[in-house]
Amino acid sequence: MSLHLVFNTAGYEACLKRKLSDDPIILLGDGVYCATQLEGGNIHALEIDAQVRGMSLAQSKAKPIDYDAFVALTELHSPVVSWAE
Amino acid sequence: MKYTLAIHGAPYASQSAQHGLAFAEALLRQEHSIERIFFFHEGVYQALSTRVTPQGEEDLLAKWQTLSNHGVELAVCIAGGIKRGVINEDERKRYEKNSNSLAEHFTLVGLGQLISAINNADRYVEFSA
Amino acid sequence: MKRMLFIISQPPYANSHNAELLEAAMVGAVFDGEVSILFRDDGVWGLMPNQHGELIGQKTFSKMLSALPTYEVDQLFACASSVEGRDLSITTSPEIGLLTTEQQAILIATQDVVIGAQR
Repeated sequence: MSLHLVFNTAGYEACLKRKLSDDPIILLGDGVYCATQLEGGNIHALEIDAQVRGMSLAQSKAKPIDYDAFVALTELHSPVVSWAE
Repeated sequence: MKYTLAIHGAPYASQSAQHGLAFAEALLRQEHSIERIFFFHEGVYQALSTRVTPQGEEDLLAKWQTLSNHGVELAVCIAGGIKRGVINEDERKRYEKNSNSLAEHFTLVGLGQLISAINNADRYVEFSA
Repeated sequence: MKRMLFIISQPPYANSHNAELLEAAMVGAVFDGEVSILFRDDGVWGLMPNQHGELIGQKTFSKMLSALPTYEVDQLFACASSVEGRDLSITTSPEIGLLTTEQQAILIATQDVVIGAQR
């Protein structure tokens, strides 16, 4: 199962169209700005990148993760696909 | 597991370095290994030796070099590097430039080194600009 | 050997990322990788015929494309809706297969590695 790294909001749109429905997503960098308008589940967000930008993940469907959890997700999934526009 | 990482963004134009560095540090903490970090596209600018870090900001070059001290290979795409002015002493001589610009601990390599690192690794993770 | 998918999502000429990705794809094939390339979104502009990179001193992207089959890179695909949405007649040489987004999802899911995040 693929893991999708989403680096910005346009990348999120491109990814959503082309991912299998169960594939997990990690939002990072400007991708965390998508955290308030998510569709579907199994979405994670790099907490430090949200904090940097003043984004709270409290009301978001995205699960906050740190780099150790990020690594663990890459261990579980292949390929790891990066999306940025 | 064995990882190959790619850095696509330039410093001050992307978070590519911060992402790649923190991810690499987490890999090493968890006792994974890193086959190679490949600097591609504008990522080659990460290896410029002439960069000066503004006061109060993190010295990214020093952080890359610390990774190298842990045995991680920092490989800059040679085709992408030399056309953008990131050259080592050999290339400086070859193209008769006044000074080299590749920071210590980085090497210039061909695209074959990206592909072979991908082939030798269990995972390939790309950090976009 | 690894199955490698290269994704091109930006137009050619404004930067050299596409050309650099094609070079990596050719090297992937030289190293016996099972290489395919997907053009999606604004990346499909690279599939226009009659490009003239020489007018601004650059390599012509469409010429690089037509050289791919000689490197045994012949699994070339484009996102059908990206092509339709731009009302574009894409090149017929090399041959480009049109994929729905569902087919692209399967193409991606069946790879060992996916290369080509662009911005």
